Amino acid sequence: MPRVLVICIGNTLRSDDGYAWHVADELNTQPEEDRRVLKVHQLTPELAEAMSEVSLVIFVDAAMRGDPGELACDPVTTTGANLHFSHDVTPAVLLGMAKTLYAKEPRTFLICAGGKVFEHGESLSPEITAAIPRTLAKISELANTEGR
Amino acid sequence: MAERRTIVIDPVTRIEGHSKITLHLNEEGQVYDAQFHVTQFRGFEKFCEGRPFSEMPALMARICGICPVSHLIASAKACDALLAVKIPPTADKLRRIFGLAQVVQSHALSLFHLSSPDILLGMDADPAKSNIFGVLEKNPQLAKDGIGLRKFGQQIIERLGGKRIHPAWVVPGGVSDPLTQDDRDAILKTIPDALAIAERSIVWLRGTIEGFRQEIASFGNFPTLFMGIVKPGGGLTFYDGKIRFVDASGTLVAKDLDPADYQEFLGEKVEPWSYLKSTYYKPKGYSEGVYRVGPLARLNVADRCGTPRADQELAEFQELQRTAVLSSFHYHHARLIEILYCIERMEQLLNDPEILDKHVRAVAKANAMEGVGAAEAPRGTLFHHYKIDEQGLIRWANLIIATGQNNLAMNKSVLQVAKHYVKGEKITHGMLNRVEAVIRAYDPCLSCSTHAAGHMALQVQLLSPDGAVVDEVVRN
Repeated sequence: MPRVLVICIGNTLRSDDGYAWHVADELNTQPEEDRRVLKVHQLTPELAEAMSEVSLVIFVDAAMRGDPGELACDPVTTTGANLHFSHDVTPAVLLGMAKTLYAKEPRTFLICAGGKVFEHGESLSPEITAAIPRTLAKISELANTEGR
Repeated sequence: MAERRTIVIDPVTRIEGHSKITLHLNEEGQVYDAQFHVTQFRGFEKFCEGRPFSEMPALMARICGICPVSHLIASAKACDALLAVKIPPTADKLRRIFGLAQVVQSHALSLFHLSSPDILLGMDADPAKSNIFGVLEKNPQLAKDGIGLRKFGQQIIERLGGKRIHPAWVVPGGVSDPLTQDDRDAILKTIPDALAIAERSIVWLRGTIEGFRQEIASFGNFPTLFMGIVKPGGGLTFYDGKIRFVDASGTLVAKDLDPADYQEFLGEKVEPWSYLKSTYYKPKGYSEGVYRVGPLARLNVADRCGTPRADQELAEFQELQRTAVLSSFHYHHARLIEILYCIERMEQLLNDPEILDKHVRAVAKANAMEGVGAAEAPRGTLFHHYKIDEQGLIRWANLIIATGQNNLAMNKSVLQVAKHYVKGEKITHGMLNRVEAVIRAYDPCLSCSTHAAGHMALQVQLLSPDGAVVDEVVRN
């Protein structure tokens, strides 16, 4: 049973928004038994069940805020989590669902890389491309230090 | 003397897409008018022009992240008409399973995640609690069941189409790959649990809605027509058949209408206050031709479901009213009966001896210049209509989406609920939540339905402090 769940969120048809899927592809070139990698367009409620089965969850997403290529890694808590739109499920909402429904609250982090281009296109900007190795290193660091 | 007032609910929450509601109150604080505005805009009908028709199913699936499968199916059926082919029988059955799986997951999302806070916690519940977390705390089993049904539907879509959102497995002429025995067996294994959830949920809803007599009486409870596709003999279907209209008394108004002839009996109008087109039954005209589509309408037009448990539930549902079931509050109940039907029907189709046949696609070039595809999406009847040129490029497209067909009824419903509940000096959360809740009952999908490009009307009004119109510019 995997211990770490990496949920990569994005749309590869919107340039830098596809960053997390590229991260997922890199992770999948070196699969690990205790790590599960999911590529999703959007967050959906049933992911809460998958989160409840691991001790560490890492969301990866591109962000419109921050400098292009800048990496931020923040812990996710259930504080202030709410669901107004089904298209707007957040990591905090999912963590809250995992906690309430399955009595599991895995350590959860959100890694965001600042994007530069979100127009139609299938290639990444040089800035966010450069963030991919740093993202992989951060995921590795979290997997080695958190949720054990 | 009090002044006229306007209340704006912006955004309407717990629906698919973005919208707002405007309520107009007179000097006595009574609602005299209301509008449901759809404020987002997409132009799929326009920007697909010039694309090869073979791209249309995959392109159209991008309209929506909730019901991409419905767009895939209606689009592929329009392309089948362009090819002028009869698709292989196994492809027909696989498409049906695909569509049914999507109805289950979409209905589950609507009922369990968006509307259950209203039903479980009450319309007057503290807004801080009236959300999915309130549901999780009060009835965790219900929330788990919602997740379970969503997962059930999504996993079938993923097994057949390769991914849960925006799969491109349905193609002109059939489907791209046959079903494997492993996948068939894996899906069949999940059926009993899904059926058990559906049964539990119906028991829960039946026991709960007794407390909503006032809402049932005032949530879109008025005479309209109802429209839906039925299979030969009048049974419920989501994939293929002829169109029926029944009136509020349950009497057949029209039957055996070919969906390809939709322009003969459906009209479309654009209002200046919304990006959502309003569709009406042409023979009765714009104001009288209001009709509803979706779960409530389908159960009103169908003679039977055609599966054992769903038929038992349909019989009970029809007892709610001696005429057609009129209250839009009952969309929720109808949704659960359809979930039950979909699961039972998928089991039948998966056990069909032909279902693993490898011949799943008919190949041809375009043989017609125009094609219409129609299917029942979770929210109602969906039409895709394309015209192509000699090179097979799209020259014109028209989509008629369920939410647009419910637009007139939704606006009437908002007005009915607002007139009933919103009054007096103090406007409470519970009053306004009911106005939103009636919209949720229809489960509108706004990203699907806003395609009024090229005939967008615009109305700008300059109002004085007392609400009088000082100036107005209208483009129509």
